[in-house]
Amino acid sequence: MVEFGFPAFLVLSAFLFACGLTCLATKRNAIGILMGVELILNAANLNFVAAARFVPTFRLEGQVFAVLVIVLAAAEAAVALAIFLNFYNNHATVNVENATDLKG
Amino acid sequence: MSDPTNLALLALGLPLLATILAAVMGTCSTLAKWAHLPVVTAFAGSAILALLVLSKVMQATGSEVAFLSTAQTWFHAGNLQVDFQITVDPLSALMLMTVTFVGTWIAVFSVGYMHDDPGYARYFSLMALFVFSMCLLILASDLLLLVAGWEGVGLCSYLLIGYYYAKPSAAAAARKAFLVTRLGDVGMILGIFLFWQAGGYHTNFDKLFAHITANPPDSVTLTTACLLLFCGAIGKSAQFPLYVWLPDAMEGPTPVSALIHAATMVTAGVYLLARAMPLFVLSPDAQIVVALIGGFTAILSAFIALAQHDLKRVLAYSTVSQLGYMFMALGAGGPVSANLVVTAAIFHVFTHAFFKALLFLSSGSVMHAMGNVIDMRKFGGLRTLMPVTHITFLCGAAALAGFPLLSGFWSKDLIIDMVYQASEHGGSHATLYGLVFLTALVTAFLTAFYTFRAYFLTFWGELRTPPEAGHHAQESPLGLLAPLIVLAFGAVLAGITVEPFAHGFSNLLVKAPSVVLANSVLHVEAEATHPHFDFALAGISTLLALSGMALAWWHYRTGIETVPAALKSVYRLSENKLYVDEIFNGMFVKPAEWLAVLSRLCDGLLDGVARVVSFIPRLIGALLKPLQNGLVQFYALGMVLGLAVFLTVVVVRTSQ
Amino acid sequence: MKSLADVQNALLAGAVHFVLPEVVLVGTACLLFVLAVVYPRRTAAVGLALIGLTWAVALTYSVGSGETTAFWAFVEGTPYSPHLLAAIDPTGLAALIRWLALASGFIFVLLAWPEIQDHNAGEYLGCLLVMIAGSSLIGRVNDLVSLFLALEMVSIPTYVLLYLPLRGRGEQEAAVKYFLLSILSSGVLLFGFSYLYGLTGTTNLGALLAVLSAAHQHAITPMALIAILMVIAAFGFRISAVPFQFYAPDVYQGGPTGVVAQIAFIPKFIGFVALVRVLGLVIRPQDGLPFEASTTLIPLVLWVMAIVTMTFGNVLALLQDDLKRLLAYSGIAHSGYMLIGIVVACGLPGNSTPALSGVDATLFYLIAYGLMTVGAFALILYWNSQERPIRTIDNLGGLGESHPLSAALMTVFLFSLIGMPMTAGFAGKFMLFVSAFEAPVEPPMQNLYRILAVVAAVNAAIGAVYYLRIVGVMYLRDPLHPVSSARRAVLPLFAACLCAIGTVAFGVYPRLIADSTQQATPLVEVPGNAAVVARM
Repeated sequence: MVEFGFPAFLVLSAFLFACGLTCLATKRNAIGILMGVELILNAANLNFVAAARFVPTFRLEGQVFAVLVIVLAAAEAAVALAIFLNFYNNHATVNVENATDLKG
Repeated sequence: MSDPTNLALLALGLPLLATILAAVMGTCSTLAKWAHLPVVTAFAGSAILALLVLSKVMQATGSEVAFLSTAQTWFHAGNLQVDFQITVDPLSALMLMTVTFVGTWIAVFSVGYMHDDPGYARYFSLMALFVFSMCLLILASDLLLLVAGWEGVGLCSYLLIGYYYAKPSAAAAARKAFLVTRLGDVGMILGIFLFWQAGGYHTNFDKLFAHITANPPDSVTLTTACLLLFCGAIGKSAQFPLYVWLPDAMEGPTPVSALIHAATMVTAGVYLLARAMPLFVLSPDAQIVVALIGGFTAILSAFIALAQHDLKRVLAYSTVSQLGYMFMALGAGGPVSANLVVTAAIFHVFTHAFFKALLFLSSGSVMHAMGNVIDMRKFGGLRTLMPVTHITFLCGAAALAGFPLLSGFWSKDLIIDMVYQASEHGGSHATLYGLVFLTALVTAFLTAFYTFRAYFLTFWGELRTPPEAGHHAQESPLGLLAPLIVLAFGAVLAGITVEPFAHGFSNLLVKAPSVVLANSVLHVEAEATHPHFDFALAGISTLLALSGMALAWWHYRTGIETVPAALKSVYRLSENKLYVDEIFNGMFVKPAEWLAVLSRLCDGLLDGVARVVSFIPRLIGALLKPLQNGLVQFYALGMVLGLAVFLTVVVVRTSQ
Repeated sequence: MKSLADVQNALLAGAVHFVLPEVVLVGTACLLFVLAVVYPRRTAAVGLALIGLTWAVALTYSVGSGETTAFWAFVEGTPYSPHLLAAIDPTGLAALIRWLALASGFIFVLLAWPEIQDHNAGEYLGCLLVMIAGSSLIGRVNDLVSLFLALEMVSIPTYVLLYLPLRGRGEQEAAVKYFLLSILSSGVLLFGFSYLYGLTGTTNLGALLAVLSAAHQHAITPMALIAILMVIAAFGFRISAVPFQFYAPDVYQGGPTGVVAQIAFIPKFIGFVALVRVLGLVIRPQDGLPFEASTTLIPLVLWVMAIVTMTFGNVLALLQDDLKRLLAYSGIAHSGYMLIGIVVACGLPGNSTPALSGVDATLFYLIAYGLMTVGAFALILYWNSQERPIRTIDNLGGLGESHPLSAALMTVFLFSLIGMPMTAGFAGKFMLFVSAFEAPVEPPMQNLYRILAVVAAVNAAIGAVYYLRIVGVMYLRDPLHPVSSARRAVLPLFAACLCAIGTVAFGVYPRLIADSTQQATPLVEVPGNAAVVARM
């Protein structure tokens, strides 16, 4: 098995992070934006797990943190769906470009 | 109760108690009409206590007289320790006495004047709070405690000027007063910070002065700090260029004008400078600026007062002008001596409190009778209709004009003498002090002229009353007249009884610790310097005052405004000086008009600058507004870009 | 002597005693969620919430200073520092933060009354209690994991609260915007945390900061800078600092007023507390600040942020007509003022001991800001009714006559926001200015602190204009609508009274609260400096 080393994971997570940001800034669909955010969260998760594996003073916290984030992300997704559904009821779309009543 | 600080604390506490009582009474409609009782009682009690305090101070022996109350820590942050502590020394005792005494009579007058106003209780509650703040300002022995009183006075003046808040002009005037004085306060706070840093982190007056005089900072810092402190005084005491709020402040009830203009708010700046004399004598440059600003304000506002039609506005501009006199005196501290100039300034504050309160209350009495009309063109010849008001107004006007032997004559003469001496020994600034001296003389002439113009227009000629007066057109009731009579005696006699022959003020003020310190900085032998009476100067100023009065009599004895054709344009400029648009009405022709044009330009320029300055934040706001476009992706992008900018800058900086 | 593992185990086992009030709050919240299904009544839910809060207060009171003693007892006789080991650290700010969170909890329950109906009372109050528990935890968590958890305990209930009223387009738009941007900030925060963990190999905050400051004695690694900037950005969102402020105006304008009052205070509160903890300003590591080294970058970034934030908030507030939107911009401006204390605290050179830590000034201002802003929202809630909705400033016309008491209270809050003396707003600004002026004028920051103070003074003057405008409308304008005779809920008015009393009391006698904020942020002894200010 090939050992990649910590830097490779850092690059991957940075890439994921950038993908998430791009997705966030370009998607018009609220669900799409949520997906971008999830990418960012997972980029961080990847860092945690990789760090827990590669940092010399190996500690459990990184993995615990990753699991915790997964749980929180699930909770957030639940709330998100409720909010978006409600938004859909009012606006008949989940396109956030239509949510510009409040500005200035 | 032998300790004067206890008496002074009581004198401070009474108005506060009255504030609360009057406010509570205001919530119950049956009690509200008795709201004046606690206030008048408290003021009278404070005045009596202040008299006792003053007598204790006079009895005290020694070269320095000051009583300090026990200090209670009020505020503590780092090096900053602010104590709640009051100082009773000759300076504060005299001011306390003036404020409470005049305040009492104004409150008595208000009882009759405001009798069926819906906001009766609110009015008296605010009056009491105002007097409390002023007393706190006077008695504070710490700069920041003084600021607390100072801001309290500002707040109360805002609320009182805007008392008729349903009237848009009153609301605008209140806001103007608040914002303009606050502009000065910003400078003052910065000045305090500078002194605090330079003065070994003390804000207590005694400690700060001792530290600064022992280790004076470099002259630039010192002058800057002094001038910043003076900014606060400029705002509060309505000096050029921040005087613009005071004439508008006439929108409040007339007794409020009397309170603000005569005894309290506007003298706060004079008091601050008198208190901070040890700091100012260290900086001759700051002193000459104070004197120049005072002189310029005095002549500018005297000129504007020449042709105002509104009786109260004439008095308002005259207040600005008289305050200018006080600052001229204070600015002469370095070349003369601290105790003399402080005596001159505080003496003028004292006499001015009497005659200006008297004039305002008399005009209030006129206003009361004329159905709230105050335009002098609409009435005239009132001396038969309102004989008592006529006599009292005459007393006040003569005192203001500097008629010989009346109070204003002595105090104004003392100031002119100070400025003259400064021009003799002024060192490098002697010429400038000479200029200030000339200004003072010209202003004395103008003062006599405009004061008596107002007097003749109101009380001489044929009897004319406006239709609004109706059945009110008669002499005011006794409740209004009694304070007038008391104050008239004060206006006539307050001068001669104390100075320049009895040395009541100078003997007392020379013992104030800050004055002693300022004198020691100047190496002045305090014992040797009593104000002497200079007959030549008195003769000149008498001549000027009398000729001003004579000129007014010549023009206005018929009670009708007549303007010689040659001076018409000058007159009109002075008359209309608040209306910027009329500046362009073909007034640029004759050379004689340039003085008037200049004074109007100043006003217009200030207004324009104020507009531009207030416009800039709005402009920036309007430019930034599109950022908040409501698009959530744009927001996210903005956040990410912000982070990216931070990251780039920081990473580039570190990798270099 | 106890071994390291013993100490760790003891701290872990004992940690639950340090979070008992929070456990009670979360437990009450669970009960409320159940109650909402079983017995959906508004009065019952409010009663239960108040009981839970009171219980938490009683527990907090009974613990007193005992928990600090207990905390130190764990390591007695061992050379270990508990700050580097424990996940929950009840020293420093912890007690003060808990009291503040609980006090704000009572106020927010009072504010909730007019906005909840029988069918959503349980959920609403349950979420509120979880938020209170989360914000109380922020002061004591000492581990990245628990810190993140505490932050999410505030965020997720906020989403639900924004969503619950289900009313109009505005509310839904506000909920969507807040949710998306807030979760973005959580993601960025997490990414920053993951770097911090990767750099140090530990999630314990104390240990992490100790490692970083030891490593950063001479130079700072770019990775750590990136990480801390991401953390600052994420907390910048919570405190609505520019350029992370975008959501605030829209959410404040659209959201239900009671929830907006919470959003105006709680996220700012936790944002600042978390920021000072992560920057190591409360319990300073031995080797100096973790992100200080020889560079001034972090203080400079915060300095720029402070100036831009206060100016942005003020100039845009000038142009607003919508009352809640105006308060949002004013809140942004006040965040800028509060950043002054942080800038001062984290920019101090290592070889000097300041007389003021800066953090205490920020904390004081935070309390003052909470009182006046929440009070203002309480009054909007009180005045608002179906027939006479309070949306724009013009809606306030004539309130000076029709509602003299509440208009007077509003005036108190506005004057405090302006910074008039004798109000808490003044005392707070004053302390911030003092801390900026007292900071040493030497490298690395030189005169920057003073420039900051001057800019803040100018901004305060600009701010006076729009606050006075509101006062003017209340007292001078005629009412747009006739005064409604509908009965009003008095609880928000009561809450506003409490806030006003606090505003005036802390303004007249600031030591009431200043003493506790100063005690909570003790100045540390800096090695090599003899003149250490002892503060009790």
